[in-house]
Amino acid sequence: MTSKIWRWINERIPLKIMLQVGLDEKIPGGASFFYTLGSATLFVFALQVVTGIWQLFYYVPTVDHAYNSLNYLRIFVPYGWLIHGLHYWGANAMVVLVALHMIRVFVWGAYKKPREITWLIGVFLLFLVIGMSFTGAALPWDERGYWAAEVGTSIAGTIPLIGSFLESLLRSGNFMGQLTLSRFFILHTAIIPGIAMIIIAAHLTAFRNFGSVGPWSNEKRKTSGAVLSGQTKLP
Amino acid sequence: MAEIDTENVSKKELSRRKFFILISGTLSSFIAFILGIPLIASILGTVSKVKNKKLSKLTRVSTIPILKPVNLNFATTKTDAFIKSVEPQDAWVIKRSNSDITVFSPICPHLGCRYAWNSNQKLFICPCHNSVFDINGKVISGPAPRGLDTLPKKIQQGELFVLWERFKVGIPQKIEVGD
Repeated sequence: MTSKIWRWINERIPLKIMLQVGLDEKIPGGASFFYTLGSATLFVFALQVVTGIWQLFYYVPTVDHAYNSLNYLRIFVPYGWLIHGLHYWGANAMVVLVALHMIRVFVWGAYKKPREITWLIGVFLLFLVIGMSFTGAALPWDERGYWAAEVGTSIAGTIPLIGSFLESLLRSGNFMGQLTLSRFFILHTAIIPGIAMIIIAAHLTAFRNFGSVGPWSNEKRKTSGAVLSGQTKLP
Repeated sequence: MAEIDTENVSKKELSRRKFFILISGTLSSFIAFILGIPLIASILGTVSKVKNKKLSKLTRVSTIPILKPVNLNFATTKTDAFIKSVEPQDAWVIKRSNSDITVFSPICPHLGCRYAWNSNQKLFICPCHNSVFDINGKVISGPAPRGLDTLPKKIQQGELFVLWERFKVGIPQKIEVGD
């Protein structure tokens, strides 16, 4: 019965091939925990999307209710503390994972030809992650978030020539206020994640084109193994 | 690590591989199920609401005329999720003596309209469907299934306080409707 359904599905959408690509891909030198950092980052991003959307059931981006609505979520909504906490710590974890991922790629030399554009797209994703961190921190409109946004936009204001313009663009005026919160909110929940999803797709496409680099030792690269090889091979 | 060639692996190895795929799939589904609980519970779960059980001040008892229903306004504080607001309400007050006071909810128990005291006929009449009540709130005529609803009240140091409550309309029983 299951195989019948499985066949019916695969005649219409190549799920089996997708699974094979994911699980049976041959990686030069075999699988390694060092290669999991990109996937881990992608997983945390997915977690941020889900917990972020869920918080929108309760959060309102207005200066008089933002903090109260978040407190309501954290205190009165069942598991609200968990959903908010996952989003908060997920954001921290994402910055750490992105840093580790970049260090890994740099040390292994995985940015070299023909993967330069993959690396550059990745650097652009780093800026998007920083952007989401910055705009997200302001949303509770508590002391920490408010002053982080005040300081951050002031730093933008010190840039020669375009500083003042950039500062008032971010703040929607000369001073922090409701429109600042609205801007940070829409940047955090729609614009930056939207761009990030497209860029992630480009990053993955570019990565898929050449696959993993594998270890730097030429000797080790001669062998290869699947992602799940270690677990599925008999000793 | 040796290369995996799916065409040349032994049957035994393949079943072991299938076993691991099944195990990791089951574990993943279990983890997904556990992770799904908070997401669903946060939407479906009973969201505890702060119930407003605060008395509102109506007026000084001595200013209420005897056996002449008066409509008095007062303010209630309402908590809707995280938004606290003050809402104006009103009630009909009948004083028989300084210690015998009745406070009626201004909402008709028939279908929720606002009735009024007709001082010529000395009756409460609802304009929507002609439910008529006497000064004690008893149904005289019309479709109302029960008499006027009284509100809990308290007299403290010559001041009249009332607790704002809503009741289900259209049924013979007086059942409070929570927030």
